[in-house]
Amino acid sequence: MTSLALSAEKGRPTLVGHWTQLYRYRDLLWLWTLREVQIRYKQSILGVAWAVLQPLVLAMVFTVVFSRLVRVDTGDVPYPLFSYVALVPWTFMTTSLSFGIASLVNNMNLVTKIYFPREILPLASVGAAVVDLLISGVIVLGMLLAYGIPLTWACLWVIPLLALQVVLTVAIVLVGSALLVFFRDVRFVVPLLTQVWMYATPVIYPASMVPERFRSLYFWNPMAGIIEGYRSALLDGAPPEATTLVRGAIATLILLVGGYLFFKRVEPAFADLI
Amino acid sequence: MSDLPVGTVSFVGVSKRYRLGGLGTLRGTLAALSNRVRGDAARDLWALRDVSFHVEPGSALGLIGPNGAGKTTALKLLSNITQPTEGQVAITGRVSSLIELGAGFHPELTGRENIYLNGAILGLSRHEIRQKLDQIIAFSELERFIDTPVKRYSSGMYVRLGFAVAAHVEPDVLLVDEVLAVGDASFRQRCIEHMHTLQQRGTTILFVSHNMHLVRSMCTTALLLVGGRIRAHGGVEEVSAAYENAMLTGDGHHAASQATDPATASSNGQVVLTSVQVLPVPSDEDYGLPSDRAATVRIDYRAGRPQRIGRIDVRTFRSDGTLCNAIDSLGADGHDRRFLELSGSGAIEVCYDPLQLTVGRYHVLVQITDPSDSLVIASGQSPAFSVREAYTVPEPGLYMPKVAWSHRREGDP
Repeated sequence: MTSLALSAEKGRPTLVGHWTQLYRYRDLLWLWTLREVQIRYKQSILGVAWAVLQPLVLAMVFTVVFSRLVRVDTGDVPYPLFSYVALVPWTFMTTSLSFGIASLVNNMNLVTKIYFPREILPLASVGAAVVDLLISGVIVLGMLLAYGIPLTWACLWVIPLLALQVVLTVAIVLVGSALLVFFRDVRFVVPLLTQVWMYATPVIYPASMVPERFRSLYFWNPMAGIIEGYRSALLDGAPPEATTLVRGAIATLILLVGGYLFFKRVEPAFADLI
Repeated sequence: MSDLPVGTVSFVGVSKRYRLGGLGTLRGTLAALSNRVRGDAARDLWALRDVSFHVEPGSALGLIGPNGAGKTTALKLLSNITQPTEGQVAITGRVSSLIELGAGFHPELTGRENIYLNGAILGLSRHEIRQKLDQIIAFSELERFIDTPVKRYSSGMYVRLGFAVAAHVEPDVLLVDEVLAVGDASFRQRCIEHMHTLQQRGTTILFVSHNMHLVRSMCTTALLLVGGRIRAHGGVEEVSAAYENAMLTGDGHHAASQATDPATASSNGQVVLTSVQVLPVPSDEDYGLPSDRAATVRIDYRAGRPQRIGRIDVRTFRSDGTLCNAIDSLGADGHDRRFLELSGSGAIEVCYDPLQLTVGRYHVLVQITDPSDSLVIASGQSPAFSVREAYTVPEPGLYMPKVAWSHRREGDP
């Protein structure tokens, strides 16, 4: 914070300008992420175990429903493993959305009193959810070994897939958190949309169940490609489908840049509105 | 802007408009949009209007004025929390504020963890905080409790820790907003010493306060804001005297209430205080309200549209302008979440039991703020009323406490 000039008529700051400002506040981003992790588990009895339990319980429920009551064909893969591999990244998405989108409004005290790049709040929420994701990732690894699934080099595809998913999540959280400042309706819309989104994504069923003629439309949902990618990398030992991945990556990057610019565009109004 | 020397503050033709109500829900936005299309500007509130001033590095400017005059908005513009609607705000160097001590403190985290967090929010790097950590802890005098979650701190300890961090930021420009109202006398003293130290080091200071004594001791120049405009700007003695005169004649209150124009206000959804009364109204043979009995301030309002408010402020002034007491609605809602929701028309009552004012003439000023507690959206003043005392001989002083006497002699059983 060496020099600060503010005026009503100044030119619109560039993307690079936003980045350098955020970089200057990187310590705050790190400390705020740490705070989010700490406070989430400090008062709960089970603490970090919640990160694992959430997708685990869901996987158990879906296992009962979809492998006992309604049979879903998952090939050679046992259903609990099939669903848990997808539910872990999906839970990361829903956790990020629910904490991240509310982050600006929940910290209105700060936003109306002190200046810092506001994107730090939603970003830190996503960062804290990444910690959860890594913890439950260890369980995924344990399950793979327990079910005797061979670990291959293809497993490393998980890393770019994760990166892609994090970027996608950040883009959505930036837009959602900003919108919530303007419209409190967003608070009710988000859980509804995530529910719908889960059924539009091959989380609890394989994408192969989707009729062929809807397939290309279906994969416009970037999460569909990402989730299928995790399964193929971890369970089949094969790289994810290239075209889906590239298309998802391009769409995600556009979303990120657009979302960030939108966020910074409306940022000055936050303190006036909250 | 970068050619200004470090520590300069400058406002050039700055105006700040707030749009009241509307946005927040989809429905509200649609309503606000239709208002805008119809060219309805009555919902706009200009918190600042064409304000220009310049502060040289190392000097101290006092910002004074009645509530709702735009002081807080000016500070918000300076700390980059909000942007001007018109004009230019320039400020060079590192800006720090003693506005919100302990911003971002989380009750579950320890004092030490909160120092890092709060320091980073104030713009320190982790490296800087680590370097200054021991100093900060020593300054806060909380060594024994530094690894205790701050939820176990008393409010005094909380503020001390917040101040210890803020004091180690070493800014080029320091913004201070009534922070001295919190904490005890020794804490206040340390705040003032700290500001003097910074001043000697050449820090520019912008100081918002209602305490003219402090403003005079801290600042060389002062700026009097009334209703968002500059009323006076110059030497601290003349400007603070102008302010005190304005308060005395009630001019200040009048100007503050002009922010909402009652004629158009209620029809477009704003809150209007239709009357402020002090009850009971004494009959002619009484000479005024008895000091030892209860009295009630009754605030009648009309709200064109259901809305939340931030705070209700009730201040009692003696006829010479002395502020005798100030209460606000913080904590008044008890468990009633709808206490601060106004819709249609209604009356809010505050009971003073007993009244405890000494003999004299008084009036009551009521102000209601928006949910962010930064703007006065409605205000009103009671007619002047008299207070007579319970005893025949008038007692001097500001208030009549309820007392009980006792006397024990040594050797008594």
